[in-house]
Amino acid sequence: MSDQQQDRPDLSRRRKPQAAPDERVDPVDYRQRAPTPQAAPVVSQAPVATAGAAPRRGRPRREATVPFSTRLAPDVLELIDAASAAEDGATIRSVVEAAIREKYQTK
Amino acid sequence: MIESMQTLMVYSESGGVSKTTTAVSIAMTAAGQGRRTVLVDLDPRAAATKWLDVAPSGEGLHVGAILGDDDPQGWGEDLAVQSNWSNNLRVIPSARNVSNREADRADHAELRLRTALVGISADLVVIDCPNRQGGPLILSALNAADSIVYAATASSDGVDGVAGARRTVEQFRLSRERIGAPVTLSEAGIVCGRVQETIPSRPAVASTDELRATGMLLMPLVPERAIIQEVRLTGEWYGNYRKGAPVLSAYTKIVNQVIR
Ligand SMILES: Nc1ncnc2c1ncn2[C@@H]1O[C@H](COP(=O)(O)OP(=O)(O)OP(=O)(O)O)[C@@H](O)[C@H]1O
Ligand SMILES: [Mg+2]
Repeated sequence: MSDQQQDRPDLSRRRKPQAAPDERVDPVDYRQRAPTPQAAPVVSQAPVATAGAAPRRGRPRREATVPFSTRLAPDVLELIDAASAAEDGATIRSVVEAAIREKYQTK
Repeated sequence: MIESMQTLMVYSESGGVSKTTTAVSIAMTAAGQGRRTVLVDLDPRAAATKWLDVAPSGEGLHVGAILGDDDPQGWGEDLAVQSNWSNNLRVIPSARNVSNREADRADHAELRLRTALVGISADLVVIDCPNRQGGPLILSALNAADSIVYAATASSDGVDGVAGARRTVEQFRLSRERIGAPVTLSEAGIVCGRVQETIPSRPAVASTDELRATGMLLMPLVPERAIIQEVRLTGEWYGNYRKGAPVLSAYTKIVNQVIR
């Protein structure tokens, strides 16, 4: 092995340095992008509409997480099950979030 | 050739206890002695970067680029910018956005700084740490460093910051041992900076005694001098001024004890 071992890495073959993908995101706006697998699901109560509440303007404020319920094709369900089983600590939520971000997130 | 680069981190969990002054002083003194030195600013506050008045070589090409990429091999060399203080001193700058990396929990992200520094052409790397209780930035430094200097002032914050930092280091050692990984990090000592030379207050005396009781307090104590704050404003090295001589002399004696 010591014969094989190089003195130092070959610096000519390395990638050029790049800024972190969120370089232009100010720390106050920073949200972690990759879902943390073990993150405990945030239990959020749906806001109860109270009579006479001032109408909201602009984009409605979302809870940190929202319940998600819709019909899915069986093959998609199977994909979700397989993916969440394959990865240690993955949940249905983390798998779905990762997939959606992957396809639709525009930086 | 035997690789003998030393990587030294300057750390305390308290803020404002002369970490940056100590890191910059060690780096610049060593550079003045002819060692090829790279100073890594790991603090999003970027105090060392501002003091040395250096800027990243391109947008986002600060230490956060290294910490944000899963294969930053050789980037230490690429991102190090030349300081105009000394031909032997280069700086890997920091920036406010390095703070984004504190939320990163990617697997093995704590090894990226170490990876980036492998093969860098330097005899000495000095890492100026932020005042954090562990966390991704400190873990990056702990994994990259082979020696650690604690920075303190003669105050309860100084003592407390060193105690916390030593706990972090101890915990790091334990977790390395648990996975059977070698622990190469050694404690080089405590630097006590910004010490008033007039009659010291009782808390100052008590704090110095506590630091001494660790058996790791490095001598001499670094005297307080207004020029240290003045040169921060002008972006200069205090060693170029007569008023800086007592501080330079103290840090030089310390460098001779902590640098191999
Ligand atoms: N020997 C000294 N004489 C006078 N002032 C000093 C001396 N050493 C440090 N200072 C001043 O004390 C303040 C804090 O020092 P420094 O920035 O080095 O601490 P720090 O631990 O890096 O702080 P932070 O936690 O903000 O990173 C600075 O204003 C610095 O100029
Ligand atoms: Mg500092």
